[in-house]
Amino acid sequence: MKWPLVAYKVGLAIFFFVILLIAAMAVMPVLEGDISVEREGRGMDWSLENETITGRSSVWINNTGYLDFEKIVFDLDAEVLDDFHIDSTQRVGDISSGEEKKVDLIFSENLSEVPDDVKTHLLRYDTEVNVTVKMDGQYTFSLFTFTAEREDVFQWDAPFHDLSVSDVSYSQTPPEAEVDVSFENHYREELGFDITVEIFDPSGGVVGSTTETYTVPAGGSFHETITVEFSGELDHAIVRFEKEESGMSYEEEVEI
Amino acid sequence: MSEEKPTLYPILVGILHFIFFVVVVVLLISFVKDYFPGLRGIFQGTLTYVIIFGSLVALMAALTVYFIKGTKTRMFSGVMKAGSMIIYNLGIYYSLDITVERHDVLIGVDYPGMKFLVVLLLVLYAIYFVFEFILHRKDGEEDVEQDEDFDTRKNFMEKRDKRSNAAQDQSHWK
Repeated sequence: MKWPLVAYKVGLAIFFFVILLIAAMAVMPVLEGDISVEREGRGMDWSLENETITGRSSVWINNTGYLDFEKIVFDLDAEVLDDFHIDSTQRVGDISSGEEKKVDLIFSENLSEVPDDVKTHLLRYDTEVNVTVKMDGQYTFSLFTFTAEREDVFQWDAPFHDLSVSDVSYSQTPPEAEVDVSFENHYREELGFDITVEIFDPSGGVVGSTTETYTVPAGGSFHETITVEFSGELDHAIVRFEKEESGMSYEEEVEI
Repeated sequence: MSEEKPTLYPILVGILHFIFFVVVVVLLISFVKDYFPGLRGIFQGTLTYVIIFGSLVALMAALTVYFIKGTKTRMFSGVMKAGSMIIYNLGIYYSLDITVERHDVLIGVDYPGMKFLVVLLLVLYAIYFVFEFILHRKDGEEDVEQDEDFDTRKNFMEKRDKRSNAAQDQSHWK
């Protein structure tokens, strides 16, 4: 055999072993569990502030393999009540070999984009939120590309969980109306809110109104009777709840 | 014996290629399917591709060694062998759907970069046969061009034996 052909074949053999080596370098760390994506904590941290609903969670990506990760992108989708979705895309970028990186996954949606029935439900009831997290990425030079998709169910903790508003009872002497309100604050922190009770006459005119401000600690229960002075004939009342600094409100019409 | 040897060698090469490209891979796939039931779904008709294109690779490998170096038929069959290996690899690549569920995580894997490297390797392997043709044709140009039948191992061996015998007879006569 001629030496140039021998050299060519040796070159091909070296190339072949380089390919095998690269494949082993990419696959072995995965099989040995050196590469991991782990969620920090078990739940999702929800907040309702500045007219925005926000969900936060964190994952740790540990790349102790031999090759760099590139173009890591997280696609997040939160589904509430089967028909409302909050989507988010986060570009993490590259994670070098040997690097460990914490990635904050954040959902965010302006309340003006949330349908009223969903907002009402989120205020009044603990709700399961289906969250799909999809991670795309690749090894150096697209040697391998990968997609990891995980579905989780996170609990949304309602600030006015199990809200109950009684019918209005009243007395003419003195002319006062009373409404009983109760709920549990399942929100992650102390709840500051306003309750406004407006009483209307049959023509729709306001004959009595009051606004009270309360705070309920996280996990606490609220039982209160709201008293309203009125003057005139009574027809119906509207009780409105507004969570401070959130822009979220809920109102309910009650009989007298 | 000398007439059988050149025919037997291509058959052996073909069988070895068939074992490596078909039998071993089919056994490997069967092993994975039997012992890792969760990975069954990744093979989408892979066995069919392996059997069809693996057999083609074995056939082309046998044909390639059947022709002697420096001939166009050898170069052509060599390039076809490399081409059938490319088709074999791409057939396996496109029939694999590497999606597995592990700890509630659905993981999908693709390897476009590795596929490119393997195809590049096989293209270089195809070029090898062109290179081989050029180098051997330069040296054996007279032998090859003078005799049109001088393109198979069998013919080559026969011609060589005849020449060798003639040379021996001449030396005895002297």
